Amino acid sequence: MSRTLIDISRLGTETTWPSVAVEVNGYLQNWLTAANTQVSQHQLRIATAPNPIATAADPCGWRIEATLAQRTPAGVPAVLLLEVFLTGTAFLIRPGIGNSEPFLGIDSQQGWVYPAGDVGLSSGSWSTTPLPFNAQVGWSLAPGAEYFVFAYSQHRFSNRQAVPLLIARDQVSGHWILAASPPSTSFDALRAVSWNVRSGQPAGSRTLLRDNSSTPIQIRQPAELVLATTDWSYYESANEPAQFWEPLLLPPDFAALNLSSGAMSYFKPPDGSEWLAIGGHGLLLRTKDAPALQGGTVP
Amino acid sequence: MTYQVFCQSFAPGSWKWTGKEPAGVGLQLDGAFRAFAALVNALPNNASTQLSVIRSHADATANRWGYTWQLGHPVEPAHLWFLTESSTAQGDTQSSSSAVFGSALASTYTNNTSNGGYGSYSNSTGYGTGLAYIDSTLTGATSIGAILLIARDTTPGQEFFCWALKTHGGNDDLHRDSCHALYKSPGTTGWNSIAVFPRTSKQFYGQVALHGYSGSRFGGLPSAITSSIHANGHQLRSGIALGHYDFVLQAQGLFDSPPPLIQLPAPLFIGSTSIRGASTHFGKVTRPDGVMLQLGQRSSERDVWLWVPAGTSHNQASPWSSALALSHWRECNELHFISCFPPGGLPPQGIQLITGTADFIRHYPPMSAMGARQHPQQGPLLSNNPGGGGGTGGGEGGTGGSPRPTAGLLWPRGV
Repeated sequence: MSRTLIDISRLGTETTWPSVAVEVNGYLQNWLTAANTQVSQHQLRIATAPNPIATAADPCGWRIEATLAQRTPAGVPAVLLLEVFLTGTAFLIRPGIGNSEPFLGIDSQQGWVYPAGDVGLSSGSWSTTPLPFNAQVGWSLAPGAEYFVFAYSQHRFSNRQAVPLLIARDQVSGHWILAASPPSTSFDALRAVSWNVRSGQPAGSRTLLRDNSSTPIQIRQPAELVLATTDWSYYESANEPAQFWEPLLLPPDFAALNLSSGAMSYFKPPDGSEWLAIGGHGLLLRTKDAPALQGGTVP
Repeated sequence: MTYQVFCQSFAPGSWKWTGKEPAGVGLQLDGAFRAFAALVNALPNNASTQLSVIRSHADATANRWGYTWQLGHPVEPAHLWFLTESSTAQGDTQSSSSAVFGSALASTYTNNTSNGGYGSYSNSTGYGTGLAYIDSTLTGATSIGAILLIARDTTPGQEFFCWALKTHGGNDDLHRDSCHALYKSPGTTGWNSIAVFPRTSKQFYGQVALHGYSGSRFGGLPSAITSSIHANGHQLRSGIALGHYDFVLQAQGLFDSPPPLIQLPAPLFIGSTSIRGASTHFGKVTRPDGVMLQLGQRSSERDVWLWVPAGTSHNQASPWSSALALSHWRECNELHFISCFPPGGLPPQGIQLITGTADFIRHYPPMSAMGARQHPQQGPLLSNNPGGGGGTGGGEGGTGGSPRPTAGLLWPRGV
């Protein structure tokens, strides 16, 4: 399978967020151009790119937009939005749905809709203390399994491990999933937004589907994001009809591990595949395929 | 169509779990299971996994009522049973377990008439549970009727048998609508089982018992169901991978191939409906392509629903009839059903496990020299690799000239 993994690690003393983000953005632009050629029904766009001359007080990061073929009830294309901005030491992630393309709510939150009731802002913090900056950028243009991911670790505790960008195709619907996980110890700090075909509405998530760490350590495929659904029953007057959803599945190069704070660890299960842990919440990125078909039968 | 859903009703006064009348619920359930077993036993892929009945209501000699079924397996067969142990009308006053859901190896069984006719085991596992209102001829339960619902699929590879018992009448809070399913999961040989006995505020025991049978032992599959199924939001899921057959090392040695995950059977949706909104029980969600029926009930444990695609057959002789014809069902809202397969279609997308236990996932932390050597990017920097990398050379004590740069890298350290 065609995949690329690049090490952009650098000395902590030399690491500034704008320089890192600008380097990542170069790879992102190249990948995004190719991905848009391949996936014509979904257009990805970097609405805001990292500012190379951002000072410590300036927000620096991305707003990524994905225009879907799917239309909102108002008849305009649905736009998936993801903002990842670092200001000083505050690392903020905001997923959303826009009601127009280009998205007009640039200077206000007008038109910005969170994908589910409990999938709002997520935050972490960036360390300005000189720390080793261990970082990877990976991507694939395998048809149907396209993804781009940027992950880093500043030390082995999960409040310094992040996946600031994860753009991947949902294996069920084929829509893009825009996701990011801040450097945070909260197990559900991840934010993701996509479009659910079956229910005809945005789908959001705040956590990977995985067992807790007291169960046997396992690498679980496919990597699935737990859907966040608004519990309308809290509102006595609401009478929402029952809804049917499909799960959000990341491409097969991703898996879920029920260990935390193992970012940049390397895992070799007995089937011969090899996996790199990214972020602080159990996401694995495959670096080597299993030589033979997996599976088998328990006697 | 090999997927069928059918049911029969037992009116107040004729509903009696504790009896061996041929038209009673016990022997009707027994007959439905025997009919399913005969069909799937005849399939070539079940030659070594035959199902049979060890005990039924007909064998009861005292106050125990229920069934013991044998699950065939090429290594060693096993038994599963569900037995009520009290003949009193269970309901509001229930303060202890009145039934047991158990399992054992067939070889530990003594085939005699002890234990109310059901025989004994030298080594077995049991989960305490209960049925509510088991006899409508008793004082306090005379207004209680019941339905027995059977869902079954005899398609090779997705064999599935599920019974559900739903009582009605009287106080809605006191019912206890239970369900037990046997099924095959992709990639596994033996039978898997899931039993859901709900618990309401008036009841003492609730239970979700999940089993996979590996030929030597039952593996509990307890963990993933809590984390995999969203606790709130009224989410119900099917087809989800639950866990392994077993969570200890096999006695005979080590796994070196990935044991597959057990999946929930595709037609069953399991999750929480505990907050409010959903019907207490007898809930229904009607769609253009089928109907979702509530087998369980609102519960602080798990609720369970059954997907009945449009056109599902209920072609069984009287007194069996269509479950959808019953007037008890009430349309429900405020629920979320999540599954990998399109409504109306089966089976779920295969979900495959990579590996089984911690011992066999080799873990290389990056901040150790050993781990760094294994790392796909850092490792080559440390090893002596004359042909690779085009590094600047000048390795740290290496004989072949390490491609590791001499400057600019803090980590990993040379070793």
